Amino acid sequence: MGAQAHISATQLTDIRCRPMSALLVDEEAARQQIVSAYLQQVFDDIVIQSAEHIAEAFPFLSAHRFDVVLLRITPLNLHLLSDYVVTIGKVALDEHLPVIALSEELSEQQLRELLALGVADCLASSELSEASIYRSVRNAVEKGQLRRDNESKRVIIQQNNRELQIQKQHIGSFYETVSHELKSPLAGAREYISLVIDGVCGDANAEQKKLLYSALECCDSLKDLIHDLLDTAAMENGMLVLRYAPCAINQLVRKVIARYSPQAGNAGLSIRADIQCPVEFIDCDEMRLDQLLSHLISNAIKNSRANEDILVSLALAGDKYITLSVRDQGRGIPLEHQQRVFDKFYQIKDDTDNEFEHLPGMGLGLYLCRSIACLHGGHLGIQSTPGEGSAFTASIPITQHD
Amino acid sequence: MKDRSDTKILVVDDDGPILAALKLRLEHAGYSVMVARDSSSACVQAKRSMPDIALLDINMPGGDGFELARTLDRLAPQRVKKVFITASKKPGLRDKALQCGAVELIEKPFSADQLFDVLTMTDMV
Repeated sequence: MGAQAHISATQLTDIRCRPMSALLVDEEAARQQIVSAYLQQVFDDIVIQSAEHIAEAFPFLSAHRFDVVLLRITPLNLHLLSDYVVTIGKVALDEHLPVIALSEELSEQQLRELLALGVADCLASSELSEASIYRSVRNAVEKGQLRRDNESKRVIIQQNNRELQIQKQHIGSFYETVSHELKSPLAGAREYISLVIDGVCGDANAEQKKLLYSALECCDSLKDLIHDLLDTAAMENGMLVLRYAPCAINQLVRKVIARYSPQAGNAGLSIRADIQCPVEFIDCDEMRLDQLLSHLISNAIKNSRANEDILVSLALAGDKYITLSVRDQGRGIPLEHQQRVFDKFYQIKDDTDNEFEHLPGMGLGLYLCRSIACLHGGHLGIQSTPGEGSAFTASIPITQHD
Repeated sequence: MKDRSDTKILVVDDDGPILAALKLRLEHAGYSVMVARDSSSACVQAKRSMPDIALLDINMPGGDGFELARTLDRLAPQRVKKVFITASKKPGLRDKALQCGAVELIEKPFSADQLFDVLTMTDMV
């Protein structure tokens, strides 16, 4: 883009305020005089510069700011007109300078072609009059003005866009740094605790080990929270990109259930599986779907009381989607909170039930789960009855290409 | 089964506490361990005694782990098996590590099981 594209708003006003300026290119002196006379009749204060041919016009174009060029074109060099328009745009101080062709009679087809090539208007010698010149010049100047306005807006938008891109990169690298700086000492802490548990410096007794395992769990929750924050940042910056590959969905669901069964068992809960999906493979980002299901199961564990069941089911819905559902028999979620639980940082605070106030988490998990489902072209919904439990159901497309 | 003391591991990480913990962990498990806190001292160590496995942090001042891996390849072509270890979640890091000839990339924080699984696998490659 040339420097001429950067036209400020004040420059635009300047163009409107000064007297109109036209460049007339015609080798025939008689016609030059007629056109000049018409122009002077219809526009007050118009300044007209004349040239006999296009080469003679170039020095004027590069030295003065014109509002319009009227260019005589003969049937012989009609085919060169679009090149002339391009060249005029390059040489002129204003790349959007409108060019009106003064020609012989043209067919409808020729006229359409010329207008498509960027000629502002064509006036046949036979239709030259004060009225036709006035109309044509005024339209051409207004059109040029609109193009300049558009161009300057486009430049501003482009500039803003570039700045936003840079900001996005800054935010991305900020989160990257924060993550790195938080996780490094966390990795150290976790490793030292784990060294003591593993008896590297002598055996720890059962009671000590129990406490150290609790410390390890704290490290792991902190790691999960950091990852949730990072994913949220990536999601908001459009940097969370899925990596699709065929995934053995039944296997994935069994694997995640197996991973959470010990934790559920410790809490006196059992996870039941109802896996009835005849489709073996689906197109998805396995790691992200694992994350979604893990979060739903982990939430269900937190929301359940001892001796309750958690039901994880996988089924086919129609012929395009699978549904993945996690149902608990916990306290349930009041209706007024049900849609908002997917909002970022949303925490259920219920004055009548103190239990809700102690639920851990930053309120990012369900936001991320729904984001992951949506990125796949699917959905995550909730069904809940207070006192009876909640069911979260994700529908995920089987294939990503239709 | 191969005796772990036959396997020489060079651990390079600019994070002192992690480096010390890894040394303790790996020595306790029976490996021969060398440590370095940056690329240049890692090269000095490697020239003195070429390791079988290099456990390399990625983000380090004065030359990242990828660069160090390439240097090790130049010093002893096809000799040193590489495992990267990082606290970064930057997308594409795993691909870059594998392109660099790494056997695996471990994310910090890691568990002892994860670490030993990867090292045992790496030793067998």
